Amino acid sequence: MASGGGSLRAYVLARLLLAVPMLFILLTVTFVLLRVAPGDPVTATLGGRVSDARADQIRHDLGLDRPLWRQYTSYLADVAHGDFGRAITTNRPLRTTIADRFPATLELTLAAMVVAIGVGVFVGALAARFRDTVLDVGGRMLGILLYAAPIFWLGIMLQLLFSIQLHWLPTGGRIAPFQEPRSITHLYLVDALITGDWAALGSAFRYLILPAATLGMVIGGIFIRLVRVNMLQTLKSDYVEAARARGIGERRVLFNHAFRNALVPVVTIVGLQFALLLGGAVLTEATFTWPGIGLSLYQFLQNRDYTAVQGLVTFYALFVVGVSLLIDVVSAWVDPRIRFQ
Amino acid sequence: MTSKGWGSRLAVLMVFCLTAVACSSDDSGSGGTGAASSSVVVGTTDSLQNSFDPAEAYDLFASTIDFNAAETLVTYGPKSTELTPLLAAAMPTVSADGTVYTFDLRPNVKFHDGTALDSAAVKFSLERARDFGRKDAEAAGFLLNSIVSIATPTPLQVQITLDKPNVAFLARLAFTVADIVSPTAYKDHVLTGSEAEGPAVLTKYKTDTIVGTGPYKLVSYKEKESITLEANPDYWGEAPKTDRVLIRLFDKSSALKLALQNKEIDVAYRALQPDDISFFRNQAGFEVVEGEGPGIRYLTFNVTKPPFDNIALRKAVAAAVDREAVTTEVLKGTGVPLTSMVPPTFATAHEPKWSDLYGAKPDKAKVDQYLVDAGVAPGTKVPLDFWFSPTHYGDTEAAVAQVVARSLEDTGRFTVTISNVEWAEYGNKRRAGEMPVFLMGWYPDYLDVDDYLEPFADPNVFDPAKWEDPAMLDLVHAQQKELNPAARTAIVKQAQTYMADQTPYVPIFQISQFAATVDGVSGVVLDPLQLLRFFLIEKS
Repeated sequence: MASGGGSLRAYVLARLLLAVPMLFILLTVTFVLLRVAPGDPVTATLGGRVSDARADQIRHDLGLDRPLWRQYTSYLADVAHGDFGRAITTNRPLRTTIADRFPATLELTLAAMVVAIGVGVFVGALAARFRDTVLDVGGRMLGILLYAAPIFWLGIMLQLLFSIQLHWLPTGGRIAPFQEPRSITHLYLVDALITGDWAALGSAFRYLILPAATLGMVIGGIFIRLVRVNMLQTLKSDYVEAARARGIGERRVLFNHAFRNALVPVVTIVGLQFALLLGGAVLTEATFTWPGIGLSLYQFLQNRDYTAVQGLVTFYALFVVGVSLLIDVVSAWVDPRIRFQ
Repeated sequence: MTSKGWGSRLAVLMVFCLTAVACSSDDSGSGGTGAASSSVVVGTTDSLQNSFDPAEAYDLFASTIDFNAAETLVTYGPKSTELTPLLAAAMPTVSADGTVYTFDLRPNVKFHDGTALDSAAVKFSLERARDFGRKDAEAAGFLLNSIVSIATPTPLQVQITLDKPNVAFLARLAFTVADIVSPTAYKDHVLTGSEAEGPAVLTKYKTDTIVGTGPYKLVSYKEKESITLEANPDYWGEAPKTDRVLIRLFDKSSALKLALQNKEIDVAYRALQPDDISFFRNQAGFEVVEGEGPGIRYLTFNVTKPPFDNIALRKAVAAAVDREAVTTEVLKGTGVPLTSMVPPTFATAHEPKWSDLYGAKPDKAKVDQYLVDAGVAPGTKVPLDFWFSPTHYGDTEAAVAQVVARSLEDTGRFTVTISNVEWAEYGNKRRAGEMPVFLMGWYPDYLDVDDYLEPFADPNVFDPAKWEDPAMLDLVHAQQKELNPAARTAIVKQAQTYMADQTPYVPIFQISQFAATVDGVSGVVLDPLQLLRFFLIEKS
């Protein structure tokens, strides 16, 4: 075995090499799925709205009349160049749609992750600390309920309560009319902070609360159970017993010794849940009319724009692979044991 | 970094954000407060189908935006079916043979890009739209196909020559396809003879903007999210009532309803569900605006194949349809029974022939008689294969189909099998003639009776029944050429009578238009033009 630094390099290299067949399989599956669907994408998308001649022309322009192997190779080449194709229904390149809309999804997903971790850690730690009490049972039940609740149902319930009944928060959208901050990163919270636009910051935050809470709580359900189990195991470990034996206060044992160690596996899971969050974002965005890439995907699916769906699914797949790779590398860097497994 | 450090920083950030929220205006309360200038937020479930370029746009939503951002030579005033001049200084003079229209243009009109309106711009815009239609069958340019040439004798005079007289031509000129756009802005977006047909050509056009002379400028379009219009400071006419209009796009009517209920938008227009309209009618703080709509819904028979190549069988179905049940049970007053393909919007031309011939209500005796004429043995039931598309015409469509089917079965002479297929496949099936009887809808392109006759008779235009009846086509062409209004009305009535007698279609109901607003919003005008005039809307 090489030295520590060398083994990290080898590990990263191995992960990168492994990502290649993974990407290859993902792209191939995405490509094949579109082709095995009944009918062809142009007819399915536009149906009776276009003449046969126009449909043939669109098919030609999209390259759908070429041999399958040529379509496949040009698809791979286009993806490699960051070209995800063109939507039939909007006649716009998907690259533009992704550039316009992905920041909204990223902002929602990151905010949801904050909610998920907050809910998971707080309730999970509380349940573990007060094991077999009402708090523990309540915490565990909440975890199951949140995880089992359909996202759109939870979203609608929150809308009805906080928007329609209490009028505290908006039902949907990303920011109040005419209040967009000057665009720098396309992340409204960040842009508002950078430009010092406090009205925009407040508005963006208000619009983010319900979607982020909906998406975050569903993932939070998983975290509640995970944090609880890890905390319980950690609280039974020898070093915690030793700390208690040394007369260290229970609060300090809990937070300085047990809590931090119990969070290590949670951090790894956080990365793995990112893909789940992106999937959940499609439903959340549809429920809250959140103008992200998930809403675009939902709308393209409704319009049966298969070429657009293929492009966006490809982007999703690439992004999830990229995030997974990043998590693997960061985990290996943080915890050397991973490199040797 | 210690967990304590992170925790405290997170807490500070949370407090900061909450403070910002507390200090921010109550932006969910009135849609667009906090801005210095006046603003209105309109919500809709419509979306851009293709392009805002008037030469290409052929859907209600794009036309609505174009109608507020660009102008035609003539137009319709609010709640009026009479044409009035707009960019033309007066109504045109028409040559005796009805083929040459001479317009004098309004002086001192500027496009949004600062260039001046002149006769060259009119020639450029109309020829461009016409040529576009010749390249792309889905563009609205075909409506201008009859233009042979456009002369520009002076910078403020235009002479348009048609291939043959067509009294509906002025109505076509009022449609947004005839919007006059800035030649400077569009000079690189002109079709040339060498270009092939298809979207590869179309991609070079600006799809997300329009540069016209209208009261509003389109300043921002976010795909499937929002559109922002700002008042044109150089507008030649009366300034719009509101400085800025934001149109928020929703993908479902339930979200539109919630947004209005929470007062995040000021106006919800197209399409709230009938139940939502009833809800806002009875809710304090909201108002419902109603207007006559030009859209019609009807049954279509495939007249080329059995069983509905048998005219008597078509008449039996026409005598069995219960229109009132559809409008009361399903539409809950958001539509009115229709007994001619030309709706009562055109009061002098409307001829309710279907009720004259087949009765205003289901008539079992007539059904029995027509079935005898059709060769059906007394007491036997006729199986009907009835189709509809579940989402294209809104959430009520399945219920409409069920009530129509029930009214047929209630006569005791039909057994109806209802099938449905999504809109994309519906079009294919229609063209392939695979649906014997099916539900359809029609929203006219231009406000003239011609648009309720020609599309149902001429297969080159539409004709979903595959009727193609020479006698009907003769009547359609005759009314198009007739310059005398009274004589034309007589031909139009004759055409409706013939159509009802042959009954390739059975009109069912006319669609009413509805918008719901928060209290204090005025100027929402819903009329048969079916294009919302944003420039009349204001919020107190």
